[in-house]
Order: sequence, then C-alpha cells, then structure tokens
Amino acid sequence: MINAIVEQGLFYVSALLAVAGALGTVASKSAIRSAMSLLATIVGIAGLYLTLSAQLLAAIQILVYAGAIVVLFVFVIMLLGGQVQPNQDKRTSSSRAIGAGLFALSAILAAVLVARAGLGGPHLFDPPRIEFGSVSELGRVMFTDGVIAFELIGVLLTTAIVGVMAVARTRHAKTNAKSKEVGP
Amino acid sequence: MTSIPLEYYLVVAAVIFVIGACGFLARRNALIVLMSIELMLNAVNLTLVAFNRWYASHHVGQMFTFFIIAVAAAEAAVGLAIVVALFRLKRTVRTDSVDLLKN
Amino acid sequence: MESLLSLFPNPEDNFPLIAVILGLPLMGALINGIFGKRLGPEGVRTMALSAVGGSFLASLAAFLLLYARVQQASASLSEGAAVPHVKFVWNAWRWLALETTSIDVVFAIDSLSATMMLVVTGVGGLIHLYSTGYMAGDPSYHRFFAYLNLFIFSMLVLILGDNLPILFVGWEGVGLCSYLLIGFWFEADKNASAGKKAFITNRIGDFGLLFAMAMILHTTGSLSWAGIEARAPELFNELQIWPIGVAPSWLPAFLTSPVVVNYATLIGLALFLGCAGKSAQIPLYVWLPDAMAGPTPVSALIHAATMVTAGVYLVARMSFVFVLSPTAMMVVAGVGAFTALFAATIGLVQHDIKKVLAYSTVSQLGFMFMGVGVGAFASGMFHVVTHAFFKACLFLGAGSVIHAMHARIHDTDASQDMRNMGGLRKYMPKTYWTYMAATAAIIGLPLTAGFFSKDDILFRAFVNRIQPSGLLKDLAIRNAVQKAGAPLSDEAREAVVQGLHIPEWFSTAVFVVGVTAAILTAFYMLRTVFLTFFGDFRGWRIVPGWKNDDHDHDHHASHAHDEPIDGPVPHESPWAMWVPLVVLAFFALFAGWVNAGPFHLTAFSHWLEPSMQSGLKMVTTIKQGDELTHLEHLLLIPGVLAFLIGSGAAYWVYYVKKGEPARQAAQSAGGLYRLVLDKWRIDELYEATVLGAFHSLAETAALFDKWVIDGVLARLTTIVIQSFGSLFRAFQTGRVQMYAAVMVVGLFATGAYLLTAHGEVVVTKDEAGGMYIVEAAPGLGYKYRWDRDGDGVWDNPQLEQDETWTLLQKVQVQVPPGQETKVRVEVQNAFKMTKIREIVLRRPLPDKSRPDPVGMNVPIEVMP
Repeated sequence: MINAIVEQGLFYVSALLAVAGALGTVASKSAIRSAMSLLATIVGIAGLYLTLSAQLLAAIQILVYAGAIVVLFVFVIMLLGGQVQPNQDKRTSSSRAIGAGLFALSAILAAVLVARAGLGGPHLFDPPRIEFGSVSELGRVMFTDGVIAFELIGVLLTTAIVGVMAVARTRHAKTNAKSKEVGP
Repeated sequence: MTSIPLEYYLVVAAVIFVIGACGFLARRNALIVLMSIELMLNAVNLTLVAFNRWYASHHVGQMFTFFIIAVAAAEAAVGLAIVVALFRLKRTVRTDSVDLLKN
Repeated sequence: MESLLSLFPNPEDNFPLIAVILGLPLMGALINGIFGKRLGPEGVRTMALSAVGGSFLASLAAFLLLYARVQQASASLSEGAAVPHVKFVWNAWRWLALETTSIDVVFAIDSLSATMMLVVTGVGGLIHLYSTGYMAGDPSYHRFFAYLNLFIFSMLVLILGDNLPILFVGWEGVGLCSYLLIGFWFEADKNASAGKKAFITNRIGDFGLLFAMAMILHTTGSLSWAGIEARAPELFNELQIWPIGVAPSWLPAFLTSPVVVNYATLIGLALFLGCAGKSAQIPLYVWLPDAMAGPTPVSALIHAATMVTAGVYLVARMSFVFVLSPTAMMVVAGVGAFTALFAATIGLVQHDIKKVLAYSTVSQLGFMFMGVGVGAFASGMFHVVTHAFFKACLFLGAGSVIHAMHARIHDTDASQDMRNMGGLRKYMPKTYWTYMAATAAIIGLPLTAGFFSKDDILFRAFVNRIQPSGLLKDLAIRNAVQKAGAPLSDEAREAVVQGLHIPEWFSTAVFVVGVTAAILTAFYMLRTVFLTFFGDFRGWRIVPGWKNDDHDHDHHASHAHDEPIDGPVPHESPWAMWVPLVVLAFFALFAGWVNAGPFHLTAFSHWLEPSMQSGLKMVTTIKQGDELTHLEHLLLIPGVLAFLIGSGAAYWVYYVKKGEPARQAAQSAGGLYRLVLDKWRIDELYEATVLGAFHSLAETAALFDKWVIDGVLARLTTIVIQSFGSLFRAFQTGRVQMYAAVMVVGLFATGAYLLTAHGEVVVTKDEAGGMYIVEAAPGLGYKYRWDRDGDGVWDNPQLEQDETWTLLQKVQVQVPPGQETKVRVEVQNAFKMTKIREIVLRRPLPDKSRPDPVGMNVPIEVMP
C-alpha cells in the first residue's frame, strides 16, 4: 500500500516535472531558461524510468543528459553569450495562428490515438523479476546480444568527436575572410 | 510497483513528443530547436522503456534506449558544433536567417 | 591454289577470307578516320593503299578459288547440264530472329558477286592510287581516304551480302559515303547542296527498296537470295491494290473498279525504283550530274564505276523476281533505253567536261538497264564491268586534265570548262593517249571492250524474249480461273498466256533507241576529245581570278590567236596519276575479249550463268543456233554504223570545221539549244512541281506550328508548369524547419490513412457451384464481423462465445440460382474505427439459349 502511494507519488511528480519542463523548454524566451527547463524534463523522465524499474537507464539519463548534454548547451549559450540576439520574430500573426492550430490538432490527434488504441483497457504491469533492469542484467544483454551495436556506437561517438572538431575549430584569418564572402 | 498502467506512460510520452515537435517547428532559435529534438528523443525513449516493462522477459527496449541516448549525445555535440560554426559565419543563430539551401 | 584449298577446305560452308576482304577497308577507314591527322599524309596514304590493296589480293584469291571450284564441279557434269551454283558463304552472326525466319549477317561469294568484288577492289585500288596524287596537299587528306575506304567497305557489303537487309546496309552505306564525298569540300555551298540533293533523291529510291523488302518478306517469308528464289512462285499471287478496304459508295464507279496486280510486278517496280535512285535513271537521275561537285576520283569511283552500278547488280541478283513480271521487265528496259537517249542529248551540249562525262554515265547506265531489262543479265553485267574500266579511265583522265588546268586557272568551274582547254595533247601525252583509248571503248570502236559489251546489249535487246515457262503459265491461268470463278475456254487460256508476252514492237523500239543513243555517244565523246586535246590551248588568256561573266557560249575558237599571257604551262600529272590511267586504258581496250560474242568467246556469260539460272530459264531468243549467230553478225552493222556516223560527224564538226557548224546550229535553233543546255529544265520542273508541293505543305505545317503548337499548346503548357512551379517554389524556402513542417503534413496524411478503416471487398465467383467468396481488405490489427445471410444480425461463427468480431477475412456465400443475397461486413481497425460495407450477390438463372451445361457463361452481377 505504502509502495503504491510512493510509486504513484513518484510517477505524478516526475510526469508533471517532465511535461512542465518540456513546455518550458519550448516556450521560454531565452535559451538559458530553455536549457534549465530541459534539465527538469530530463530529471522527470529519469524519475519515470525509476518507476519502470529501469534503474541503470535512470542513472545514465542523469549522467549523460544532465551531466553532458545540458552542460554542453549551457556552455554553448555562454560561448555565444550576449551576442545572441533577442527574439526578433518576423513571423506574421497568421503564421503564428497556423502554428498554434497545428499544435492543437496534433495534441488532439495524439490523445485520440492513445485513447482509442485497441489495447483493451488499462494495462497494469506485473511485478517484475527482481533482477529486471539491474546493471548486471542489462550489461549482460548489452555485451552479448547487442555487442555489435555497442561497438558501432563507439565508432559513432569517435566520428562525432572528429566531426565536431572539424566543424567548430577556429579558422585562420585567411579562411575567415573567405568564409565571410559566402555570407549575404 | 504495479499501480500505474502502461497507458499513462504512453500519454506522457506522446505529450512530450508533440511539445517537442511543435517546438522544433515553431522556434527560430537554433539552440532551442536542438533542445526540442532532445525532447522528442526522450519521449521515444520513455515509450520504449515502458513497453519493455510490459514485456519484462527481456531487455531489448532498455538496450535500445541506451543506444539512443548515445546517439543523442553525438547528435547534440555535432548539432551544437554546427550552431557555433553558423554563428561564426552569420553572427546569428536564428534559423529563419539561414536559407543557404535555397541558393 | 592447293594451298588456298588447304586453308579453306570447305569454302561452301565457311569462308572466313570474306572477313579479310571486308575487314581491311573498314580498318583502313577507322584508322584513317581516327588517327589520320596524327599519321600525316604519308601514313594515311600507306594505310589506305594497303587496306584496299590487301582487300584486292584477298578478292583475287577468293575469285581464283571460286573459279577452281566451279571448274571442279562442272568437270564431272555431263554435256549440256547446268553448271551448279557454287557459292562461298561466311555466316558472321545472327542479326535478328523473327518468328518465321531469321536475318543473319551472312556474306557470300558466287560468280556474280565475285565479278563485282574484283571490279570494286581493283578499280577502287587504282583510284586510291590516283587519289594520292590528285588530293596531295589537301588539308583534309586523311578524311578523304577514310571516306574512300569506308566506301569500299560499304560497297563490298552491298555486293557480298547474302540477303536483302545486308545488301540494304551496304546500299545505305555507299549512299552515305557518296553524300560525304560529294560534299567533301563542304565549305562551298554548291557542293554541300549537291550532296544533299544526292542523299535526298536516293531516299526516294530507298523507300522503294524498303517497300519491296517488306513485300518480299510478306509473300515469301524469307529475305535471303536462296530463300526468295525457292519460294519465288508465291510472288505470282495477286493483290488488289485499289480500292483499299471497302470503297465509299459515293465514289464514281470508275474510281472503285478494283485494280489487281501480282506481287511480282509490284515488287519488281518497287525494286526498280530503288535501282533508279541509286543508278540515276529517269526520273531520279537528277542527282548524278550535280554529284560531280565532289573530287574527280570520287566521281570516277563512286559515280561512274561502282556505286551507280549497284542498281544493275540488284536487278541481276533479283532476276528471278523480275522475270516473273513482264511488266516490270518492260519498265526496266524501257526506262533504261529512254534514259540512254535522253542523257546523251544533254551530253551533246555541255561545256563542263565532268558534266559531259556525268551525262554519259547516266546514258551508259541506261544501256545496262536496257540489257538486264530484256533478260540479258550477263550482257548488262558485262557492260557494268567494261564501263567501270573505260568510264573510270575517262574520269581520271578528265581529272588529270583539270589538275593540269589548275596550274593555270584557280577556279573550279573555269578549270573544268572545255572552252578554256584545247591542244593539251602536246602537254600531257600520257593523259591524251589513255583518254583516247577509253573514248575508243565508249564510242564502240570495233574490238574494244565497249564495242563488245554495247553490241551485246543491242543484239540481246533485239532477239531476247521473256518467255513464260510452264510454271508461270500455270500460275497465270490459275489466277485467271480464280478471277472468273469458272473454268476457262481454250481461247481464253490462250489470251491469258498471250498477255504475259511483251509486245513485239517493244524489242525493235528498244533496239532503235539504243542505236540512236550510241550515235549520240560517239558524237559527244569525240567532241570532248577534240575540244580538250586538239587545236590550240585557249587557257592562255585566262589569268588568275578569271570569272566567266560573258554568256556567249560559242566563243571558244574566236579568241584562239589572242596574245598569250605569261603564266604556268599545263603539265603532265605525276606517276601516281598516270599509272592507273594506263592500267585502266589497257583494260578498256582489251577486256572485251572475255565476252566477245561475235567471235564465239562467251566465257563471261558462262561464268555468270549459275548465279542467274532460274531467271534465265524464262528468257528465250527469237532464233536459235546458226540463225542466231548469223543474226548476231548481221546486227554488228548498225553498231558499227552508229560508231562511224557519230564519230565522223564529230570529226567533221569539231576538227575539220573547228566547231563552226555547231555554232550555227545553236544559233538557228536558239530556243531548243538553250533548253538542252539547261538539261531540258528537268530540275526546274521538279522545283516547280515536287518541291513546290512540299513547300506549300511545309508552309501549312509552319502555320499550324505557329498558331496551334506555339500559340495554344506551348502557352498552355507554360502556364500549367509556371503555376505549379510558383506553387512549389513557395515551399523551397531553404529553411530546414519548413521542410520538417512538410514532413509533418505527410505524417498526418499517413496517420489519417491508418486511422480510417478500409472496407473494400473483392468478390470471387465459383460459378458452377453458385459459390461466392467475399474477401475484405486486410490491414494491421483489423477485425471483421459478417452478416452473410442478409438478416441484419451479425453472424456468430464461434457459437460458444458471444463475440461476433473475428479475424475471419474471407467468407463463402452460397446463392441458389435466380436468387440474391445481401452480405454485410463491418471492419474495425486497431484504433476502433469501423466501416460497414454492404453488397448484393445475384445469381441469375442459367441461360438456356446457349449451350452451356455447367453455367460457366452465366454473368454474375455484383451490386455495391
């Protein structure tokens, strides 16, 4: 009983945090606030992972997203600093209306889809095996069934690092002048 | 931990996904666009983990989520690098002033 | 010979030496064409000469081998038996396989093609040698020899091809080379348009050839010589060519009366149209005189010795088709005779030496067609060979003269004008003597080659008759019986057979026309000799840059004693040019002895006979044996007389009187003279009629193009494309998010499709049992419920449960005859969307009026 209350409490708090964070990410005017809201979403989803007995993934979510990706975002925002112009939206009110309409339509559609999905009523989970979602269990799967994908992910990350360095490194003055010519 | 049905997770994931999609389409700040992509990826991850909890005899969903997180990290790094390079080039991160594809 | 036989042990089946004969000129053409510029003139010359020379040697070997085989084959024959048709075949590859037959790339050498092959490579080789001197210094030296080699290759394909399509490939190939070489100096507008004229005129003839090919394939089901020959009697079937289909009733009766011809006539005439185009016969001869715009060796090789005789070759080759149709034979002989006379009249008055020779060629080709048209195929071919020698020699001699004149006059037209020549005998003796020899041959000086071949044709024209053989008679009577629908009386049968004969007066008329043309030939040919080589040189007063601006056509003798102007003297040509002249002149004088009929030397005719056996079967002569020989000797008299009259007149007019009588005649008959000088204004006639008609057609089409195509259709297309363009351009903002938004729209469309339940059904009929199978659309997560009996209640297949939704996608419904059943199905997809579909199955009663015991033919109606 207590378990159920704790579980429900954790779920609702996490879900609220995630949805509110998502809204905040999309809606805030400044990028730094968006990044903070994204952090909230990530933490909320990590909480949801916990209720789903995915302890390892919850940890990874915090580590990778909160610890790496959001920090990276913040870092870039700092790097660009005040030079980032404030929101000068040139869009007309009609296009805003269309956007809002699309948003409403997609929300309704998503709700209809989920509500009508022929799954046959609420599906309550069975109690999980004790080792479900544990580090050892997931690790075993990852290094047996998913080992090729795991290695490929390593290659992908290496490639990404090289790519990032290639794209973002500071050019010499000569190349800079050239790249300016490309602009309008 | 059996009192929350699967559907609740799916609804939450759907809502986050749609918010992310709308943000991706509507926002003009390249950084926030990238964040919206992260939102969508997280929503998908949540769905995968929830379904994996329903079919608890294996860990395919969780494994997949793990890989998606790794890909998302790579994607965020490359995306941000592009934003930085773009800013160097055009002194802006507004996506509506970037239409090099047109010419 | 032994070694050749050991190399090719079985030439009748496989004779790859043909690949060498064909391949060398092709290789020469490719190498000179591609690398010629880098090879330089020396390399080009070596390449071209060795290609043709090698081909000639291989041809000679093949010829000797063929000769040996024929001797072997005829040695064992009994006296009087027909010599077998020995044929060396090289089957290169299968070109295309048709349902009934196949067209192979196959080449064959028999006596007919071997003869032509020797002429082409031999005379061709000599002219190649001559060209190395004549074309020396031309900037496009390599291009010239590439074309020339390509021409030899194409001509060999034409001759050696063992079926009509291969012949046609060569036929078009030589046409192309002719076009390229006529317009060789294409910088001058005149040359380019002369090339076009030749090409386009030939297209008309080629249409006839293609048409004939299609009809031959239609009637005989084959295109190879042997295949057509084997089924040649099929060609005697008749075809109604008018009216096409059912004539409308409002047409007057004389327009709808059926016109029936037999295929042989139709095919013969169509083939002859092709021959007339290629061999410059009336009405398609107009291109050949203009073709003289090409370099003179080209005129000698293509437009005198080889290509233009392809038509004669084709008639000889297809002799078995032509003899089936007396009408076609009459047309061939008649057109040939008329062309011989007509072209000779134009040749009388031309001033350009090459033009005279060109009209002379047209005239001589007429003689050849006269020969093959009266069934003297061997005589026609013999004239082809002798003509190749003397006309090539004449053209090359004229080329030599022009070459010499060029030293003095740098103007194409003026250097070819005989009014500027004269007295060249002194300056270029070798050219003079060889030209004289060739002239002696063409005008029929007794015992020269031309004398024998021309007299053979005239003799044959007089004595030959196309005699319907037994088979031909039978077929004609069969056709007549079919037409009448009843057996014929004896008189009627006799009338049918008589209808196959060519009228008696025709032979006499052809003979008279031929002799007249021979007189004219002697006259105009000696005219060129006297104007060119005798008298005093009139080119002294021609200075560089001279223009022929006065139109006094008869001033040639009047200024002969004007003060000479200093300048280069005409000179003899280099050895590369006079050696071929000497060789050709030798043959022009002495080649006639291979077929000297009056002296009972008929080796050439006997040699060709096996190739034309089935055609010759239909040809007889009016006299036989000794009487025939006697007649032959008697008929030498008109030939010799023609020579004497023609040459005597020319000697008197142009040598004794220095052309004075010609001037007077031209003045007294001014209108007629100008008409003939303008070539009877045939070009102008064509211009007014054929070209005029095409121009008005083109103008109408241009108006249509301007107003309908450009005005309406093009504008409409532009508007549609422009509007779509501006619509799509709106999406191409270049902003990534815009593209993503479009993707989302697509996502929505997909979602909408997935959300909808699709209720289509397909009904399969099992008619005999009255069983209908209704199948609903499949889909992901689809469920169905059925109402198969139309009672409005969903069926429940699983009786123990109260659940009507099933996964049953397909149901069977039994319908009794004459009744109908309503079937309903409801479909539900994964999102609980549903769709109800209702159909009526109606099985009609079996149709008793039709013999259909199982009711298979009963239509089944399905009403949605």
